[in-house]
Amino acid sequence: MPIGASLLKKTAVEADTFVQRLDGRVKFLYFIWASVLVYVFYDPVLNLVLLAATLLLAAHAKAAKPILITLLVIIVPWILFAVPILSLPLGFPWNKTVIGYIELFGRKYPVYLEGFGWGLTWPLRIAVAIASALLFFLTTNQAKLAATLFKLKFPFKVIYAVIATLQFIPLLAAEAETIIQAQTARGLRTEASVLQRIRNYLAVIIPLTLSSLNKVQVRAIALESRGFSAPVRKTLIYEARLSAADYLFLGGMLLATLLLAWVYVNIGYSPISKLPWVWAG
Amino acid sequence: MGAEVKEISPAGKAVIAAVLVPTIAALNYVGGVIVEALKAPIWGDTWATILGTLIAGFWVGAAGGFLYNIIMALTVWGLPQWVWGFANVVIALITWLMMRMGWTDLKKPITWVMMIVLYGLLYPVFTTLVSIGLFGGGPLWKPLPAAVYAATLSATGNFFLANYAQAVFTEIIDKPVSFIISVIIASRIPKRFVLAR
Repeated sequence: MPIGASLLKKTAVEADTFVQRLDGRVKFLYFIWASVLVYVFYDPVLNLVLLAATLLLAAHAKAAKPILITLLVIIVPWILFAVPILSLPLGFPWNKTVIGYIELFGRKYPVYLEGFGWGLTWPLRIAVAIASALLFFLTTNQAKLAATLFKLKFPFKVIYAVIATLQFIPLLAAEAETIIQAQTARGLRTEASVLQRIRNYLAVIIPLTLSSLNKVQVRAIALESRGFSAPVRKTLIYEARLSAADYLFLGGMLLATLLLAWVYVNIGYSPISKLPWVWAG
Repeated sequence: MGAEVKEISPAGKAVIAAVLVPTIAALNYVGGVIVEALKAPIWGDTWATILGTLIAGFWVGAAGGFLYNIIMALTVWGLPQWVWGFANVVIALITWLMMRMGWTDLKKPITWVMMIVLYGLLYPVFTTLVSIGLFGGGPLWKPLPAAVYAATLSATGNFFLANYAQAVFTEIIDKPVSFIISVIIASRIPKRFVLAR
């Protein structure tokens, strides 16, 4: 099963650390803050610094392993694929500054800074966004997540949809595995022609869809019996409140924002790597 | 014998629609997982959006598809990828149009033509614009689309055309196949779940 499925099968890591105790809104804000920062700057080294900070927090919260695995599966192949294509002559139209040469099939090719910087910065931006998102997701349990969304003034039906999706994914993934096993026992093979593989897909997806739609009816009745559409004020099991640790963390983020704003104004958008400006960089 | 069997739905349609939205989001996700397990030659993560639109209308399909992208952006894809949620809205819109125009009958040639034109050629215009405007464009990390990108760029020197050619290459098979799969499934679904009229 691919990384995504195994990751979303996980519930929040239950540990009593500083990160778990932080309010969900603070962790969500950190995720937005870090994701925005890596787009404001165009500097892979700065991205690496933010990534390291996020991974340190994740390690403290005992949630580093799934994040690292996700980055290894998504980001590392992307860099390995994008950097060689973009930094060579034909891969990127804004290539101008030669930083070295590489020998391929007996011929020397120039390696360009513009393509190299682009191919490294974009995956690292996504790496920071993924790591900070997973830090929030893996250290905030579903009751706290619902409370966080409630405090952020999300409509109740939206909160239900988000929490229900997170609950349905592992259930449907497990059911899909059962159906695949059953179909494999009846002779379904993955090493087949393209058309046959699409037929195999239908053989799994049709029973899965019909089974999940049958459950829709049951869930709808269960929701109705708990007054889902009743016009009353909804209450939550967990009440989100900001603590001293939350204010301390927010203060740290504010200080870092001020420092980085100064760096941006006085040094520029690529303060460490000094990458040249390219379109959409 | 011969008496008409009526399907009774004890829950209101609004609640069924509310439960269908996360179901569609989860089905989109699991569809992608099954594609990888079975090595099917499609992405497989929009068929449930199409199915949701076919059985419950534009808003349910679009909301389920959008929610799927939000969940993925908040977990495994990274925040900026939430923008692809609008791709699911566009898919739901195209599907709604196909429904309204009666282009869901797979026996009619017009269904196949419009399927290729709308999903295979028009939809990639949207994905190309998002891909370049927000993610910088460039090659995908799947070898064949990346080869199409590199070949178009070296032949024309046009960055935008190279990205569009790459997008068409990935979508022209995937989305029509997803549409066909969804139409087949929708035709087998019990009537009590069909909210769209």
